[in-house]
Amino acid sequence: MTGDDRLTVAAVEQTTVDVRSYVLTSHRPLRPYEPGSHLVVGLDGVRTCYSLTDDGTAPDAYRISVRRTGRGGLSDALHDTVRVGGQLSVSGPRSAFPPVPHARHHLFVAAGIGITPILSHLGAARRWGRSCSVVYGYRSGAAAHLELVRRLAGADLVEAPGRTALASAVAEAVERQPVGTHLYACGPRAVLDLVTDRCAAAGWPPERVHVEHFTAPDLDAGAPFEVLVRSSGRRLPVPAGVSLLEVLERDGVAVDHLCRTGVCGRCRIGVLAGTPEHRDLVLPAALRDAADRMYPCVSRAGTAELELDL
Amino acid sequence: MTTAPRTPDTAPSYATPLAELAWPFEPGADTYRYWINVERGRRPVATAAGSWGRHVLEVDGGYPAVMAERTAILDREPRRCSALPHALPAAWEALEFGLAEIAPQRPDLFRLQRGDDGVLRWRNDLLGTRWSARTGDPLVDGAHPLAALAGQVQEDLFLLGPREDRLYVDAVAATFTGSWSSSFSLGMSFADLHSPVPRIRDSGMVDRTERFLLSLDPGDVYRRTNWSIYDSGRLDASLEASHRRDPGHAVRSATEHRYGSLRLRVELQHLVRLPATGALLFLIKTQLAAFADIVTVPQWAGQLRSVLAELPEDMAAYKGFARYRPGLLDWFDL
Amino acid sequence: MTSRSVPQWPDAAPAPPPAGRCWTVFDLAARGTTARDWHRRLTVAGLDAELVTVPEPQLTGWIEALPPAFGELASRRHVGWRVAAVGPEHAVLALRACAVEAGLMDAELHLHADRRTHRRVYCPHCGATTLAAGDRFRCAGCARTLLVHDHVSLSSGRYLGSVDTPDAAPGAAR
Ligand code: HEM
Repeated sequence: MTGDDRLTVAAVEQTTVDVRSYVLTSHRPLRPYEPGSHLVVGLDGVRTCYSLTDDGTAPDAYRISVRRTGRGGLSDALHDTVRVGGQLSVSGPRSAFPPVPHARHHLFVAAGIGITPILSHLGAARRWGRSCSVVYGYRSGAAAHLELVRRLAGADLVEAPGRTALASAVAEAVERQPVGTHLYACGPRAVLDLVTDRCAAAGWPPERVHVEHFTAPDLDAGAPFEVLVRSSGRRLPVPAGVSLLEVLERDGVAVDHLCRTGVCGRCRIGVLAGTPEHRDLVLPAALRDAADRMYPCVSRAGTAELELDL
Repeated sequence: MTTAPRTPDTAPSYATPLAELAWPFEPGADTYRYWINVERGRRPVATAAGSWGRHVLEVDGGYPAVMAERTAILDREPRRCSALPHALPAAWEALEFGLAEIAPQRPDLFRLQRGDDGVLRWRNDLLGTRWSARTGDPLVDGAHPLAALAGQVQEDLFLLGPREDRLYVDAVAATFTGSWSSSFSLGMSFADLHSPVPRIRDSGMVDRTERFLLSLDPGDVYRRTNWSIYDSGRLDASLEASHRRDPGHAVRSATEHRYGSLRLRVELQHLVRLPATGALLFLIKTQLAAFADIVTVPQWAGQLRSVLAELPEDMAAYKGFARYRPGLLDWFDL
Repeated sequence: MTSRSVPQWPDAAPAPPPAGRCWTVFDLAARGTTARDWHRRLTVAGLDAELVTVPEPQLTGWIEALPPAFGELASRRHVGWRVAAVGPEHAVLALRACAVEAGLMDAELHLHADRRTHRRVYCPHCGATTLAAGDRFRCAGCARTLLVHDHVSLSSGRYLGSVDTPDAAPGAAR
């Protein structure tokens, strides 16, 4: 199942005050997925990525957890309109936050609803007997899936109620991880910045640190630039505030894409000349300077022109 | 030069029916160069003599003989199967994928069942195999899960996993490779693995291929063919077994003008992105056809002659026929 | 032509970057003062660095004992640990293989070979590894005369060898 598919909402559960979990099923067998994968859910033309919470090995259903933001948008619409027995249009699952199987130890850091992909990783680590530990930061009384996390993680769990507790738990954890550990963090930007800063200070190479943003950062409109499409030889202006992906689509250049927020990695295209300005969340730290590829849904140009391998 | 006595070459000769041969040359093309020749799998292709390509793993008429040969090699050289510890989940996914592919092809002989208890049961009446195991067990019927699959299918099996945006060989179960060493390749990067191949290493082809493989979607199945020339019908052309071959054989076949007994060795390769582990399963099915048989198909005879005549010297050397190319071309013209 | 799997070492050893938290610098019978210079540099940069010196006569035995010894050393370290090594290529590659086995990645390793005296060579016919001095050598496992190929597995730190046949694998040194 890679194209759009309709799944049935088999159950809806109020997980915390503002988080609901949806159990999605199909009459057809559901494709297994890598831990940390997401499903792209579409409603009224809007699409958003939600992490799947099971380990993915032999899924009987796809489970996602959605937090009401109170700011409208797809998450709130799901809370307001989707009921048991209803249908959702989804695509995926897609993997953009996979485990590193050869890691000697896995350290999982979750903040708030960022627990969703971490839960998936934790389940897989337990299934395959991979050494792991978890740091879970949450607001008291609003910790999604806390019981399940406790049951799976057992003694390997550090709970951190509140930002201060989380900051010190992270600071402590990154100082004493066994050689060969990989760290996976999901949460709001501030927490992820804290994690990457702490790791850098403790001498971690960036390749060991894997972060998943559950909210895409708000991006500024960016400066205008031009692209040259190799196959057609056409030169297209990309105005400020308009994404390269939109410009390409309007010109009839088909680019496969999903999330439009720089998270899923689907719209990757090749760059032949010029330097892209990477604004996506897909490229790992070690590849932030890569000039041969870009994600046109959010990324722009660092040079006046880019030549695209399209 | 060899100080140890040579083991006599007793490997049986194998021949793929022409009707099943994955003819590796593009229709109408009379030259051949390396390129990233990949296409989606599971689609049959018609050739001048038949068709191929319906299945990803295929149980064909050669199955009993090929499996007997594989078992003999694995009994003698268990190091043909090896795996890094972290490859267990991917090996299990490969095992379940592979058995599910072949089970429906011979429902009279194979039986794959997943019980409500989560136990997987496999039965192969042709080989007399019968086992049950749980997903994740370190051993299946006494073997690593990838080796357990190799014991049931004709294909050579490789698992590759991504690390920092590059692919590495994480597990190997192979008995019929061309003249390279699969047991040496465990743990190697995709790029290093290909470094002995002329032309592709400096052309950027390896990097582009690797990027293609890394971008495959979960569940994607692609395939490609590769070919070389070989002097006998033995399936195991590996470097592991090269001391078993009679070193004068190729030269003699050529000098005695036995060109008709040379074989076209075709590798039908499949690439599968396993969805639950993200690992890449690489499958090679080796096919062998004697030149004497190939030339009975007129289109093939003409095309093969043109390709062999035109192929640049470095590629001809790599493919194994540069030393006797002139005589071989004359033979086509007889 | 040398295949790209064979490591190419620059003539002069580049200094290790002042990254990570603590370092172990291995002086594997290195020429000159490279290892000591590295060690001093790291210490001056405020990093906690130790120097392990292996004299030439002990190198072969040290390499043989390395896999368990390195694993033991790594188990007493944490992420943030870096390893530097300089010496003959076969020793540096053997150390790299153990380091990767212990979970270190290239970003955590700073390696330099100052010479190529021997090669550790894998025999595909019997599976043994032999420390070979020249292009042609006798396999320690099966006693066959093998030819070294220009082909290296970085993960195991070994070159490939094989018997020399007229249709030997392309890539074999001749
Ligand atoms: C689309 C995917 C691939 C492409 C385009 C490709 C391309 C090639 C080509 C052109 C050759 C030379 C073959 C000849 O002339 O006989 C080759 C050899 C080889 N390939 Fe690949 N390959 C692919 C995938 C793989 C994978 C997944 C593996 C993993 C095991 C692999 C392992 C090898 C090895 C071991 C050799 C022989 C190298 C030697 O002589 O030592 N290839 N490949």
